[in-house]
Amino acid sequence: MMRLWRRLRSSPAASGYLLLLLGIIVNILVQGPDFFTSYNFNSLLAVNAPLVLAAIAQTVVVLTGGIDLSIGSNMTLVNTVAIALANQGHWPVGASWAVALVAATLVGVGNGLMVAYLRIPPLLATFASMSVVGGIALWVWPKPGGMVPPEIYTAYGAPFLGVPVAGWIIIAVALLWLVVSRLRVGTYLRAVGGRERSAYASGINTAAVKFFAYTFCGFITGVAGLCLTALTASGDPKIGLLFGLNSIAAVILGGSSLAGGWGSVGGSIAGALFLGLINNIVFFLFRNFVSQIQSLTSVASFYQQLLANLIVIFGLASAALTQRGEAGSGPGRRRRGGTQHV
Amino acid sequence: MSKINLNWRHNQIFMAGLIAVALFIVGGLVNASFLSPTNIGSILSMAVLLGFAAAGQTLVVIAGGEGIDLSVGAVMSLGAVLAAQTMAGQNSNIVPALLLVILSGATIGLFNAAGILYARVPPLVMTMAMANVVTTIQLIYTHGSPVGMPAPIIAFIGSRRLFPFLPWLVVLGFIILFLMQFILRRTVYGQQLYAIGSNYNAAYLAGVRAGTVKGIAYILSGILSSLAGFWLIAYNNFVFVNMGAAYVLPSVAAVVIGGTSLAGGEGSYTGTLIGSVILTALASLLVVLHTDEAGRQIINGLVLILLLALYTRQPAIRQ
Repeated sequence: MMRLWRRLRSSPAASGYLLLLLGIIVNILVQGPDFFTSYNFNSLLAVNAPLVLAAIAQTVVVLTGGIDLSIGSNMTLVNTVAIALANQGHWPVGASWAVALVAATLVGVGNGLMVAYLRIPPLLATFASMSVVGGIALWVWPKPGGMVPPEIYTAYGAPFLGVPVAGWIIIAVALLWLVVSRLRVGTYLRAVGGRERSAYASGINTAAVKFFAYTFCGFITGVAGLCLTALTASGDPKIGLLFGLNSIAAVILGGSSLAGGWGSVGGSIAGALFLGLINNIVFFLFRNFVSQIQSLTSVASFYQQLLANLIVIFGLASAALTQRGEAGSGPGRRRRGGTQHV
Repeated sequence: MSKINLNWRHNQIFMAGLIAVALFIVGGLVNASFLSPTNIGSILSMAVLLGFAAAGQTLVVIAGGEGIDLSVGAVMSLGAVLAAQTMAGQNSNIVPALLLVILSGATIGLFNAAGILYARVPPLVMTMAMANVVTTIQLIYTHGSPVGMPAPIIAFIGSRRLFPFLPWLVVLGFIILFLMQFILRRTVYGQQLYAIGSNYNAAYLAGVRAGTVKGIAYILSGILSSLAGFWLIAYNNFVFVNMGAAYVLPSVAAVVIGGTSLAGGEGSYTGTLIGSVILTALASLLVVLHTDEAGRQIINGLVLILLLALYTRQPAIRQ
């Protein structure tokens, strides 16, 4: 037991897993035994799968020391392209969804070209592409509407072999990542994020590695966008608005460092699920306990948001505090005084 | 070396100015009324508002350490709401309104600084989470429909003009420019800000209270964005929720186009103001061209990519 604890503690993802555990315990406390119903698990996974996948995509880029702000717009693009082709262009659903996935990957290619070959700082490059991609999505499908065949969204929410389909998708993408990270390019990703110059000096084509990271990120974002489309069963040019920044929050909660070089996809998944659970917790907290307070009920949804946001800040702070890495952040290092590297 | 650096930096501002002029010329060719004094005046007014929001951003970015303030928009919105409600159209309420606006901005900046310095949350994520909190506080406070309006004097400064091409807001913009340049170039604080931006550890070892200097940058950013909200309602003469949301990312873009490096340690407020003029002129040009929202976003993004490719290319890694 102690050894397991020590191993867990030494992983950067520890904070993510602990936060998720804490979230689950609090959720059970406020929701009661209903938490354990399979219906609840299904809906939790189905609702949160898009954010989980977006967090995985973000982690790949963060490992190389980059960041992708355009994930939210890219998911919107997938949603609008898939809906517009199927509803307006009368394409077969399968073909239109495949085109949407290709479009998302192409956005990743564009980001990769800008960051790796034009050498624009990732934050600014993806900020600019966020605007372009969001504009294209708005042009493709200007107003909310459209529909998805019922087979797809019922299948998406249903269980398959005991695990929800959304869960299978997450497992598939996580396995894909596991394979990629075991390949040579997986090591290169970490090497580039750790110290780009050294990676270059040891003969790694750093530009190509970064290009690969953004392209792969674009592809996973595409899958996330398709899940979002299956979940909401309609098209909306504002649908992905929050996913870009939330995916970054999930990555931080999962214990990865924005400086690059180390991080964990498992931690990011935990971080994303924690973000999802918070909404669940706050919802049940308000339904079961706060609804008795008359003065609060009229603006309850705003208070729910406020509480959820405050919990996120608390989580971010605790995740950042437990993070230990070459940056030397963490309470121990600070208490000793001396220099700090921020 | 420093002389070359200086020349290069001035060149970047010079280039930004050139782009701004080019934009105005293109605008004039497309539609002659683009160059009318009235239109130039309103572009400059809006640029001053953006420049106000980008002033704090400039300080935070210069302070380095991946410094960025994404709470600018939310703080601006809260400042606008508080200002409108407190002033309620009465000149006598201007001072309390100003004090309240400054206090709220400083408080939020303080929380940002605490999260970044003590809890070690990366600035990007900390200020983003803070923006969410501030936005919900604003919604709770106003129940979604804020009330009030600016005092007559403030509304006068915000929307009237000294000459057709010179709104009072632009005069205010020059005052801010002067103050910011004074802070950055002539005070010890400004020097320390550049010092921690270019090398945090070296500045710390040289006796600069690096944490305090950085924290003050976030507090000043909060105050300046809150004041930006104050002038935003003065310009618009009415208030609605999330007024400042559209200013977040343009404020970062204005700073970068103005030649301030995101790596920290260099940059100037003059550049940021020119960056604001470029962004506002571009937006105005797209309106003149009758592009719809989608087209505006696409062209805005493409132009930004072009500018970024011209300006912010990092050196290639070589042996």
